[in-house]
Amino acid sequence: MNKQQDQNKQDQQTDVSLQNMRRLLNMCNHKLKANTDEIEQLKLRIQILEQNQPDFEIKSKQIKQQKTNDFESIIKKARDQEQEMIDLDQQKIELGKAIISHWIDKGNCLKLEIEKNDKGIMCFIEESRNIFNTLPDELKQTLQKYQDGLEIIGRMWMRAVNTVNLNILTDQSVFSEQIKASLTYVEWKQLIENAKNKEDALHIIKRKLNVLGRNSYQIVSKINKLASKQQKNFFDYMNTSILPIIDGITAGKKQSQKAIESLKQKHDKHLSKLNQWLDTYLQLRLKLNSCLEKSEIRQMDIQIGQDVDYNCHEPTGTSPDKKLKNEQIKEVTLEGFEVSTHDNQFTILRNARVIVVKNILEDSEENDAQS
Amino acid sequence: MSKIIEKNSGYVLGIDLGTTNSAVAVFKSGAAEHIPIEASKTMPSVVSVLRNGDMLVGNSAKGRSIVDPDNTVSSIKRKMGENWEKEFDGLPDKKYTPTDLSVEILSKIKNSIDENIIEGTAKYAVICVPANFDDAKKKATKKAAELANFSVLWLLEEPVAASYAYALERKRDQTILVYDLGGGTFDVTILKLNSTDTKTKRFNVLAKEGIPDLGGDDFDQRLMKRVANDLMKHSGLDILNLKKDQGISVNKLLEAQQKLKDAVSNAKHELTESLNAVIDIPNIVHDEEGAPHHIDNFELSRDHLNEEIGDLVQKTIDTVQTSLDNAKLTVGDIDRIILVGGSTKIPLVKEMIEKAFKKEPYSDTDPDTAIAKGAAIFGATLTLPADADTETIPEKPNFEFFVDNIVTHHLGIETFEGLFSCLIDKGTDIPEKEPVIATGHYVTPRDNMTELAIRVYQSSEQVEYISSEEVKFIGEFFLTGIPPKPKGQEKIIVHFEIDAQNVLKVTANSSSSSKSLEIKSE
Repeated sequence: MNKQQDQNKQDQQTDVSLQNMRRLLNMCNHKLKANTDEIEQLKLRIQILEQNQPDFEIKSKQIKQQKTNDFESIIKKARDQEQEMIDLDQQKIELGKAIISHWIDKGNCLKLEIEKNDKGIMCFIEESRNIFNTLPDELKQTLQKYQDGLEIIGRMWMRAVNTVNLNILTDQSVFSEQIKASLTYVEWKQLIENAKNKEDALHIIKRKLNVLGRNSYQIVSKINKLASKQQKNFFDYMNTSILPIIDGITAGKKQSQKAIESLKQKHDKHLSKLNQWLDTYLQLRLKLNSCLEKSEIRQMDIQIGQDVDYNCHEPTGTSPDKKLKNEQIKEVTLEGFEVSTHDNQFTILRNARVIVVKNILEDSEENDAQS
Repeated sequence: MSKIIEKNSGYVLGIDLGTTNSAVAVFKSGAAEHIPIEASKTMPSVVSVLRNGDMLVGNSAKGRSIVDPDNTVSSIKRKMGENWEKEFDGLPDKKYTPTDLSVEILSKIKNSIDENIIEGTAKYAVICVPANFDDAKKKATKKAAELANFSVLWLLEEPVAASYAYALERKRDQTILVYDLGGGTFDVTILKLNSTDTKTKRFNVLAKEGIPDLGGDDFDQRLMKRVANDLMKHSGLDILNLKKDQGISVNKLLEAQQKLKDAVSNAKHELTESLNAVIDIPNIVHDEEGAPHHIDNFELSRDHLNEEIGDLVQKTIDTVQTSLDNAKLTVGDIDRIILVGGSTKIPLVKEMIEKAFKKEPYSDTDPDTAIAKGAAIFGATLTLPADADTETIPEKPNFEFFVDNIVTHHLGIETFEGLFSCLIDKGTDIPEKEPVIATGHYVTPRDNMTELAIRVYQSSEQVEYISSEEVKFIGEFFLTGIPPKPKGQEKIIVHFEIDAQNVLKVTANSSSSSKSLEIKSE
């Protein structure tokens, strides 16, 4: 019994062990299966990845290519912008140069003409003096102040032809700056090669374009200043040296004519000499006119009775005139002049001074006049 | 056809709205440059109205000052902020204030600017005003600019603007004195500046003074008189006297005066470089018999010029001394005297300054455009409004300006029986970032007052009564809703607040009334 019990007990133990082993085997099988599945899945993923590998390479290459293309396009745009900027500034510089050269040419022309006419003008003054000295004392006394006027004109002319004064016309402004050549493709590329992305590259390029723009604008600004200075020199010389002589001649001639007119009858035997003397004004004016013409300076065409144009007529006084309307020109007291510019236009060298009509009218008359 | 949309320029203009002439500049590509107005460096600040109602501004308007003086206005800046009105014959339905006329001047400037230079339509501006402009004048100036369609980013004092141009020339840590002698006015300002820091430029205004009616035009008048006196000796004709019966028409005399003025002005310029100048004007005038008279070889030496204008220059020197005294400084404290304004080109000005203050003045900047350029530099550092719609956004300079200003007048209110109660003293420092605030405590002067007029005054000197000559009324408002109480029992609190641009705000409160009123800068 004991043996049988022992055997039964042993069998039972063996059965449990077997069951345990089977369970373990099952578990192992499960695990193995899972691992196999995982392996299979991994294999599959690897397979997929392996299958997709060329796409990744292409994409990666594409990204690189895209970046290169972006930078290429940025560089191209930058170069275009730079070139456009240089072209525009170069045009402005060329314009500045043309203006400088215009006023230099005009100055040279005027200088030559002044030198050419120098002796002639002084001869006319001298001649007037000689004629004056041959006149009888009574006439001399009457015309002394007029002759004084001519002598002053001669002295003003001598000052105008003084080398120091004349040289202002031809003193040339020195301009040596040039806009730097545009950056090369390689230089632009180097500039952005360390850029992290497109935005960064654009920012670097914008900064560089600003610097380039500033540098070339400074050159443009400088030439503009020189062009203005050259024009100012010409204007200053004309307004302080030549035009006051013309004014003196114009005012002297007008009054001298009146004086000679009143002397004609009493001194008819000296009429020829008086006319010859009076002719001095005309001759002087002709000489000066030739200087003006060569420099393309023209006198303003002003008609008595035309409306005042405040842009080129400077009123110095008013006067009533029943034949004319308010703010029409009654008299020109100082001639106005215009001078040609580099683009074949004319600009005001000096405003004309005029007396303008101002009638004090009753209200109703005023309305009529205005209508 | 597509509509052309005008785009505003992102460049901030510096505008010197002068008494005689105005100028404009822009800071571009790292430098300030003046912008020509109708091909000139400056434009006359003159407005004239034709009979048909057309308005002329600038050179063309200046021409009408003789033909039609009644309808032509110059030096309108002197009237800014004042109760002044003008009705033109050609525009009978409207009364023009100084602000209205300044609008016309500023509009002309705006429309004359070459848009290629500023890359768009002019919009943003820094407008310069004299150092001694009071609150009302500043407000009127700002309003004029805004009506001219400018967006005013700042009202900058003229000498401060000039000092900006100077400070940017190189790094400087100095106390400077800006001597500004223009065609019609003189101003002096003492400032402490520090531009040594690359990013921050600091300015501290220490004193301001001025003579409102002294300038280069007075110098010309003196010289004209000298030459005309000589002509009178020879001819018996006094071309400067339009009233005396000389048998010559007024127009002929005016014509002669004009010729003399031109010649004298040329001689004055010549004397800045030479010691002698000769004036010749053949046939300047003809007497009643028709005989010509000339300015014949009139020698004008620099000594003559000095003799004529010496006393006028001395007045400016005295004013400089007053400003030094006000700042409690001696000339030893001044590192440099900066000359601004066209009239400072006259050698005597430099000589007298040098003699009086034992210091050679500095005049390297272009005195005609220094103010506009300084304003342009300052403008470039300012940030445009958030809603700015601009064609271009210019590169901003990598520096900023900081200004500590001072109050230019004693500021206060009228109290019982015309007493001037000063709340803020002249010369008080105004820091850049915060306004100066002062509070006055008062009580109602009569029983059962329910409203009270708050009248604001300024004074160039410390005074007791508002009736004093130095005192000027600058504004008023009514504080209403005061609870009726016996006199002396209701407290009235008045706040004054003034900022770095010297713009004053006044607020008043009664102790138990929640209502408060204020004078705003806009």
